[in-house]
Amino acid sequence: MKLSIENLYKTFSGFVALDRINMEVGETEFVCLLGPSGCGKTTLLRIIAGLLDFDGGAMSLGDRDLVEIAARDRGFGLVFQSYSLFPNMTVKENVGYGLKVQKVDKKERGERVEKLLELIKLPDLTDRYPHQLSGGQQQRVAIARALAVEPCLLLLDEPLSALDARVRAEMRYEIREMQQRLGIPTIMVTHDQEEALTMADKIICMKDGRIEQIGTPRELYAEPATRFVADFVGVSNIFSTAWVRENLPKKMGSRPEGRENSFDFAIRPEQLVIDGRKDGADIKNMQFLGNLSRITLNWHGQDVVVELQGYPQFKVGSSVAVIVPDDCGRWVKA
Amino acid sequence: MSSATAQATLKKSRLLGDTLLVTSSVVFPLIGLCIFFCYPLFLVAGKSLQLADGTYGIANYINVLTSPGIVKAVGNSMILSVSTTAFCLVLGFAVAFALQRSGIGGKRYLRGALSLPLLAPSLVQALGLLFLLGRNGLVHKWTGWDIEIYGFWGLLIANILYALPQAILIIEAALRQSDARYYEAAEILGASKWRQFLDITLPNAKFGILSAGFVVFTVTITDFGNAAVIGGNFKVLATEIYSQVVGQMNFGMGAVIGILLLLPTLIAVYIERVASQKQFGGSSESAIPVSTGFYAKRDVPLGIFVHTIGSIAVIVVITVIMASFIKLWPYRMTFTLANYNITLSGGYAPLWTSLLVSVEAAVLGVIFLFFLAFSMKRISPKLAKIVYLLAVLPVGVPGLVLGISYVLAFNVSDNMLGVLYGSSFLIALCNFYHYHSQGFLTMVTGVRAVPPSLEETVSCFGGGNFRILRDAVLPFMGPTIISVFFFIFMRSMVTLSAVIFLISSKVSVAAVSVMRLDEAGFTSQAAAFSTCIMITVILAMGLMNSLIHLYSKSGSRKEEIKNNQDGSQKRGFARMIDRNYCWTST
Amino acid sequence: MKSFSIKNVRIFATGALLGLAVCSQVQAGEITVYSALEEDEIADYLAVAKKSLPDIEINVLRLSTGDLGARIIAESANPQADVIWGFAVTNMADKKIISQLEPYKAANSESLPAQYRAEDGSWFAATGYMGAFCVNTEVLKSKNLPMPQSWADLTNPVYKGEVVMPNPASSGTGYLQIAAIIQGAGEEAGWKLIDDMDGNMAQYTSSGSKPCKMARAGEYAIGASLSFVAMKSVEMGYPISMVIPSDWAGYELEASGLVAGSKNKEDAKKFLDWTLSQEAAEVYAKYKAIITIPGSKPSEMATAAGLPENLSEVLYPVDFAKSAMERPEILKKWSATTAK
Repeated sequence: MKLSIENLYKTFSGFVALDRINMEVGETEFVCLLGPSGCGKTTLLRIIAGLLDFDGGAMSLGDRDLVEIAARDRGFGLVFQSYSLFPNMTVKENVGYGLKVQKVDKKERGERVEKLLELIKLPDLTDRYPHQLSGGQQQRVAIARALAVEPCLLLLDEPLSALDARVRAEMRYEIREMQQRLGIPTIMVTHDQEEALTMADKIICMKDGRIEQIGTPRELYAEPATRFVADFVGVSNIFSTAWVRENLPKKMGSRPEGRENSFDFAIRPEQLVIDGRKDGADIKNMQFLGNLSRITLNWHGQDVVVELQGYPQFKVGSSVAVIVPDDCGRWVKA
Repeated sequence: MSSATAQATLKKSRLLGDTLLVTSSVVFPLIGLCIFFCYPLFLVAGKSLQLADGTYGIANYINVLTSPGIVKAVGNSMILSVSTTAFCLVLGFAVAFALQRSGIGGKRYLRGALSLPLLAPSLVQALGLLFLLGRNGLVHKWTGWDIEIYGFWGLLIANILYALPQAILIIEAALRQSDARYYEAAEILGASKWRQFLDITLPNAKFGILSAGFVVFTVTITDFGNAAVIGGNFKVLATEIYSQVVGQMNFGMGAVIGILLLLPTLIAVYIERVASQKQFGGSSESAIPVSTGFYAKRDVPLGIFVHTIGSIAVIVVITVIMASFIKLWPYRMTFTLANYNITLSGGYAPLWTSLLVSVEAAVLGVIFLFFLAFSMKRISPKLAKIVYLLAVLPVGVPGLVLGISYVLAFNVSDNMLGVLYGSSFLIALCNFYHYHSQGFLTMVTGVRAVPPSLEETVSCFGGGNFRILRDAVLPFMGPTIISVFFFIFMRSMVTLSAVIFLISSKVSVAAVSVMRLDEAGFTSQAAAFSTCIMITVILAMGLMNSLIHLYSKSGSRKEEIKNNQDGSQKRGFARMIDRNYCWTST
Repeated sequence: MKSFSIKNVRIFATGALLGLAVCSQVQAGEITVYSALEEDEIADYLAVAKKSLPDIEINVLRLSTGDLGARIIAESANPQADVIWGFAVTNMADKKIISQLEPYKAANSESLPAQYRAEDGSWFAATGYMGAFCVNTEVLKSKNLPMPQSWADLTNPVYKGEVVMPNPASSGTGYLQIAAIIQGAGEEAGWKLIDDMDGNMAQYTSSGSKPCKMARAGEYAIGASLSFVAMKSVEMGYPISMVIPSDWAGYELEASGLVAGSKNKEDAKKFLDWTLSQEAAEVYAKYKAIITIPGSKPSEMATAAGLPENLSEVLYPVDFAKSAMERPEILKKWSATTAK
């Protein structure tokens, strides 16, 4: 079943939290709501879950109008940022809670819980209490709990933000893999663009209560529509129209019609090429990141970041040339 | 001299400051407890071993344990205490829940109504019940029913009215801590409101409920006042002590029963500790408090129920207040102000002494109890167990026994302790320690609201400990601290049985005046004086309340709760992110 | 309170001292009197005493008999009182209290009949009170009950559930009542009477004055209590009749004595002398049922109750010391007799 939202609008005492939200989640899609804190993504998620009312617009699942249906009856699954596992219940009881509420009989409940615990690879922890588990384990139990009721829509609220880096990387893979296997439509809220890029089928990038761009990870990365998306998803070098006119006049041809400040030019750091034999830009800083090197240069008064693979032999302070290949860079809305 | 050495010294002094804070938090209250509770009690224990002829032995214990009257009294006391506890827990939880979580109206009125039994001298409650439900009471006059109020049922009602506010105090402290996120999780999983109540609210409040049960049980089993007035032939242990000590001047026997009464207290503590073993930790710093909402299906019956209870408490007290304006109850029901002209020597002077004493007791009490509760999590578990046991023991000692113990301990001419005897300050101390347990349990229940990660904050800020206490801990514990303060204040104003032994020809308190008036036969004047006490207490509390509001900072938790109720979840999460002072996790 | 600097110590100490400010320190010319006499009695007596003893400041601590006894015993290690005044003899005779007294033959005490003073002079009794029934005439009327005149009358089954008396285990008044019955009627007849009455007794109250208060509030028809409370109730306007039981009229003497640990024996002795003076006797007449000072006018109360001028005719000699000693056994037997 498809979730569709039309013109959703939400205010808090005059403050507009969500403005004209239009989106869809397909039958087995993994959608990420991506944006900085305060952009309204969590609010949107909570509205979808039914924990919050909205002031205008429509929301439906399949052909059911969700306004009519209380959170309790929507049959969604929600994994909280802080897991919110019931502290007074064991892992088994936590995971089986939704089933208990649905009055599934004990035997069947036990079986399903067992299967789920295997799914999340924690079959031995049935009788532990949440405070006895590590963050990653709690996370998985929270997911199992949400999945136990076979939800028609899975909602994840920054599920990985409280985990350490390595566990996070593992969990990203596992969640995605689980979701694909079970085929449950999923919406995940995150402020980490790397997460969104690796996990999502579709990313909805938000800022200040509005949707900046909807697209696949590839689309958002390679074809950002706005300056914000260019800057937020991955790193971009942003050049003003004036600068481009002066230093990259060839690119002016592809500039859309509009006022001077309406568009900026964005180039990804890895698209730029450095020619050490010529000059034109001064190297300010070099960062060695293992697989990459990141070089910050001063190019015609602008700070530019270039990423190269390998171990370049440039020195800080030396002058090199920066080359912009023909098909690289895009004009984005400012 | 580099910043490195400076850093090292700074770190050392932070550590020192930290240790000093924790140590003094435990040490000073403990010293107080030892001097003003353990030592006097120890002397009483000594008395219990002193036989009629002056030698020492356990003959007293044997006498008591083999006397048939005692066995019956033990049985009666147990039945009464258990019944009272059962009723008070159910009623108390209902009221505490209604106040903290529901959307019923008239919460302020309800709070006031249920505090009335606390701030009225015990005479008022007993008199009120008699005037209403006695054989010649109002109900009998209006309906002709023959109610036998004397005996078990009357005593049960009187004890429930007395213990209920104390149970509510503690359970409220437990319910105050709430995390909306658990409820949301359950909601999404399909749980109905009732299920959420059973699965989240109740287990969360388990600690508070157990503590409240403990308090009600021990307060009932040691109560003498109600039993004397309305108990009829239903003999309980506390009246036995009175018989022995006051009726037959048999200190040894009385002391034995007093010490024996500690047994149910110890057992109750043990049960309570074991039962709360499985308790999970308190709330986290990002807990979103549950906002109160009105759900008709739940709140209408709940509202009717709790307001009925509140009304009973009010009616009992109002009856007595009215009686104070009656010339001669129940025969000459004409209105008069004459009863307010107190003909007792000293007049209203003891009322002011009571005020002074009660403020002293409450201030001292709140400071000691706060630091003691605060330090419980920071000392070794073994030590914490001992401290906990000592801190809750006072409730098991009847006021009469406590008073005598103070005389034994402080009526000495040869050492420093003797300085205090005969002073109003000693009365203040006695009152504080008499209610030490209830205050302590309420504080400890409230301290669980303080997020554990504050430990890290404290060590990060070293020299700013005071600031952290003020800005981080106090906002969480503000309501609890205030309620404990007022509780000690109110009880100190009206408690009687211990202070009889501490007043002198020059220093007396209001509660004693009420007793003297009643004993002299001037019951209506006693009612009038009691009314004056109640009014004074209400005025004093109102004054203190406004002072507190004046001083509370704008960033207090109360305001945040109010803000959250607007539905600004965003602010909640944003607040959480803003609190990243020096958390090590992201 | 976290860091105990010197400054904080000073502040704390000053605060404590201010608290102690309302403290009792007895100076010369001041005496502390512990008494179980009634409140308004004391006020009146002191007013008169002040005229005869203008240089002495008399501070009185008044507690009921039972409470006072407990207090005195508790303080035995370091007595705070100079004088004990008007305290039930049965309690005074207790070893724990009498050992705190210093024999003092107050002026005039030799003239008291022997049963009203201790042989060695440790105490003397100037006044006494009697047990009496408080009968609520309204309740009698509404329930059609006859007016009782004696303890024996109280065994009449028509009074079932309408009689209350104090519990002798916790109340001196209750004890004096049953002691009177047992000593007067003899062991066998006395206990039988108590047993028979028990059938009608609604409850045994913990304090001596309670039965009267209950009777006057209309809770019960008859409360066996104290003469003082009865008279007071009548005076206040309650529908009460005071009845002194015609068969065994229990009474208690109110003893006074000098406390051995007194720090101001001179003034204390002066006060004790005053309590036996004619002047005192005159003012006693207003309140007391029994005045032992020879040559004193009989009290109004006694006359109203129909007691003859020479009380020793009616009041058989109660051996108070014996009473005190036998108390534990009598109480045990009472418990057994009245056990339900």
